[in-house]
Amino acid sequence: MTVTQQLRQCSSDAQWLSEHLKSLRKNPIYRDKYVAVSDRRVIAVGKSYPDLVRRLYAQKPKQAAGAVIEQISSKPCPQVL
Amino acid sequence: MPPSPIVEIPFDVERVNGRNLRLYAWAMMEFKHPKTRKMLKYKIKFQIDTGADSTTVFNRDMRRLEEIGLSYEHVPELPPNEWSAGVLGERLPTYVVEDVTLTFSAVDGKAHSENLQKLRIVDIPQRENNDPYQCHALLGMVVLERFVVVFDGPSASASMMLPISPS
Repeated sequence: MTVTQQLRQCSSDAQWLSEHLKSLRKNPIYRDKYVAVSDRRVIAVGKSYPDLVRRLYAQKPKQAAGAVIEQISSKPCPQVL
Repeated sequence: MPPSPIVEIPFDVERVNGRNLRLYAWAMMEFKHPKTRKMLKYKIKFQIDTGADSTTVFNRDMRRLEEIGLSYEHVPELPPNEWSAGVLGERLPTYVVEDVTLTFSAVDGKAHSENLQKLRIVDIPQRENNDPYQCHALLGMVVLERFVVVFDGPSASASMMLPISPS
């Protein structure tokens, strides 16, 4: 996969995450957990960041480095400015 | 006269909490590990920040960079008088990586690289009501000033363009 293809995949996964954030927040499976997204779907869930990384590398070693990781916090993102 | 070909790098436009628009760009970041000199490659999501002078990485990405072998103790720390300022004006421990290449994906599918002399790495301290891991890396004016940046709010689209002089 070329660099541009890798970047487009990350961008597409992040967009998918952004579009689905509301429903992920409502779902107790994901709320206040860490998720890894690849190919526009959640591929791993962890209760902490180290837990997610451990699961991700164990289950999906090929996708691990390219996966988009996000914390599905029930609290809104802080307003910076 | 035909128009000059341009390099156009699209931004992702996301609505945070269903309200505010934020602009982001993905890039492949490449630099030599300051200690081992091994080349490190990392895909990074930058928030576009015209209010930031420098291009900066925070705890969020350092956590992922640790997976490929880079941690704060490997990176030279700047003297306190050169530290980055937080939103409230407080100085935050700042580290620097030199000679970084940022490769973006242009709209035509081609790669476009920009060199960055200094990439700042800021360690935001954990405080009450503050999650330092929420902060995306910032693409600041040191890179943005090389481009024509277009933000179309009503149609929620944005990009940066680099005119190429005809050869």
